[in-house]
Amino acid sequence: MSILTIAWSMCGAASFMLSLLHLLLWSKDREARVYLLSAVMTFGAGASALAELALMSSESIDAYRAWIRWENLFVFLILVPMVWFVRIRLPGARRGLALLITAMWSVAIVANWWSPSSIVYSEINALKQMPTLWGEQFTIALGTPNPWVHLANLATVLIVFYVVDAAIRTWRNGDARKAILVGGGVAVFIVLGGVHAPLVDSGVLEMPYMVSFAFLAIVLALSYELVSEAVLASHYARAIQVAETRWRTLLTNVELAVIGIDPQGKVSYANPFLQRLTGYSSDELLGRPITTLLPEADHAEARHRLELAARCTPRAHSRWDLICARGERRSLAWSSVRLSHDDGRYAGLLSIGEDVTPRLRAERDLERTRRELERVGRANVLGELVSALAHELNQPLAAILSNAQAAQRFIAAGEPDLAELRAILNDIVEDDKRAGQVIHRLRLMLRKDQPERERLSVAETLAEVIGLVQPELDSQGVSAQVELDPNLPPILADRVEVHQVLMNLLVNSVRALAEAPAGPRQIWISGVRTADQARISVEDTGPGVPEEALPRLFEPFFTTRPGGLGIGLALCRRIVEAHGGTIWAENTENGARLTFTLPQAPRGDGHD
Amino acid sequence: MTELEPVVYVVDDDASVRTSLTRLLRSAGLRAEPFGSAAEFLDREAMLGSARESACIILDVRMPGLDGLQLQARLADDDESLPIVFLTGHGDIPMAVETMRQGAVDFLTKPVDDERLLKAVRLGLERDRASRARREQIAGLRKRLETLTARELQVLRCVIAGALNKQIAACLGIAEKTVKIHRARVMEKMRATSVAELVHLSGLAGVSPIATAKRACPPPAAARRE
Repeated sequence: MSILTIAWSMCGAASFMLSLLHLLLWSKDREARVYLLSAVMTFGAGASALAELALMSSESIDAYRAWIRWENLFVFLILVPMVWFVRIRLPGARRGLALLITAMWSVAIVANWWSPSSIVYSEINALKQMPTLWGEQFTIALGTPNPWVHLANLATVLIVFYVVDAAIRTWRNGDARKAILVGGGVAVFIVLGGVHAPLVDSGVLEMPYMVSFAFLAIVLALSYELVSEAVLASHYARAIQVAETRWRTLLTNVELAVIGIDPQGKVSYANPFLQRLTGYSSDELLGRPITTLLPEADHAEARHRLELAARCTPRAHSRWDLICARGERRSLAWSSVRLSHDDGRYAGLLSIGEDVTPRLRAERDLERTRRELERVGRANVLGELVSALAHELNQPLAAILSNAQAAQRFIAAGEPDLAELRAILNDIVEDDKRAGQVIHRLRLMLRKDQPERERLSVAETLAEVIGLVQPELDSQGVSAQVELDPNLPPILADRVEVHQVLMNLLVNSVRALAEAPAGPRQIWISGVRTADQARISVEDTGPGVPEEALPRLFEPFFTTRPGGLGIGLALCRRIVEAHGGTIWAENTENGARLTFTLPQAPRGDGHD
Repeated sequence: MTELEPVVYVVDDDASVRTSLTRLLRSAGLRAEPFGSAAEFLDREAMLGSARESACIILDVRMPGLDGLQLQARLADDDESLPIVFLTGHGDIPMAVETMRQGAVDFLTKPVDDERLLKAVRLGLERDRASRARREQIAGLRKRLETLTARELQVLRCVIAGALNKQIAACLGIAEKTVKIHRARVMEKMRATSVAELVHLSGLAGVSPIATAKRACPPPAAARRE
């Protein structure tokens, strides 16, 4: 048995086996084109081994010529896929070079078939029998070289350069192992095969072609790389399975709703919590358009959001209500992530939702309680002011009645003095207007609707409030002075609420002054402009606030006054903060100063 | 003493109320004098002293400075206090009870009907006139009492205690006849026509009968021994 035949056949068989193996891998995972490339490559190596065997045992020039053509084609089949294989495996490889090499080799292969005696020889003159070291005979050709062969040789040199360059760049990027294994292996064996073959061609070396062996080595090196990757992949697969189990356990047991939505807006996943929450089974949920779970009113918005999600990142947090199987509604706070395929195509949404229905209910209750409390607080302040207001209202009414009855008596007595009657009627008209204003202000105070922001003049608002508390001020002998910055801008606020704040502060000051020892009883109200706010202070000459009470002054139910409810200032703070302002208290040399800020009305909003 | 035209003082801090009340009183034929505060009114009072016409006050409760209740308390210290008709915008029952207990004529709330107010005012004026008349009567009686001698006063006190001439004579250690003469003098000086009237006038003038008389008279046993 010939050793040459055995060795080359075994090399060929091994290559074919590897080729089949890679083809099989590729058939299982069509996405992994690297397997297809290595299958072609190893097929080329196997076929090349057979072609080399045929060359060695050729007995005629014609046969030799035919086989050497095939041999070149098989080398082409090895080299070009290898170039692209390297490009996939080594991220540093240059695409331009790969294209150039492919083009050069393609031209060389065309030349191979067009030339009379392959790309290697322009003319084969004779065949020569050579002995191996162990005495076996094999055939080599003697002929004139074809100039086209330099193209192939140049392309091969380029491959070495390309591979080494790719390896270095990949190494620099931190993947040394891959760089050595892929780059180093390919380069070494191409140099071996690529230098050996031309030397045999040119007759310098009188040896059989051993291209297939060199490539078998390359293929083995690459296969090692692939296999180690496959091993890693299976490690990953196991790790992923563990993680998957962990996630699945989490998704199954977590008290959060998890829903997957495919690009068509249909439910692709629903975790058990969501099923329990909605009362729908997994089967009922899967494939169902997500909109059928949402209230009618939200459909348009939901469709719009889904369309947007296909194009860009969805809003991280949103709240959607779900309609459950039994028709009741649950509110959920959702966090959504956009899913995409490797190539960036939209793959749907994954949303995690927390059932906030009980929390919302609690918040609503709290809000209602707070509003109620506020109303009580308002009523409290009102209650204390109602007597003052009643007094104010009674005065004009009393005057009107007495004036009218005096007029009746003058008339009944006969010959009434017309000037007198005229004066009486004028007074009645004036007092009636006065009463009307009191009623108007009272109505403003009692109005209980949603806050309404409007453009308010600080001076006017202040005047209205002082008008309301004037009787209180008078009865306590308190004088109030107002100093407003002439540039004070209009504020954007709810009239009634600002009334309440000012009134609370004024009433507080009046009460503080009632406790003060004899001395000037004064309140200063000042308003200045800051960057984007109006700052209003109410300062009095009362005893001030105990230092330890200052930090807690605005807390609800905190009071320094016996019998006080502790609602007034808490209400003030709530109102001021709802407007985006702040409120604080401080002691001055003479008493206390309470200051709050309110936002300026934006320019050009309404008429000024 | 000439009888002056009665006057109503209107004390209210609200100018239009003040004006309207003044007009109303005028329309009812009453003279009215307005005051914007309690202090203003007190100044005027001090100036007038007791030499004044019969009057009453229409008084507001809630006023800056001295309020209506404080003014009432201030006036109550004086013997010759004026009747007060309270007129308030926001009265409550305890306040009304307290003012009435302190002798107010009425406690009315604004707005007030003219009849109601005028009735109260007339009542107030009537009360003032009556109390002035009583004061004058008492002053007259006191003058008459001053004309009595010490002995005559002793006899008077015994008479109004219900003692007989004999008892008086025994008590004072004088003759019954002398008692009779003293007694006639007393009746004459006091311008009393009967013992009953004398008792009444003495009561008005504040002459105390029994206590001193009892102590002055010795027991009957002692009289018998004499």
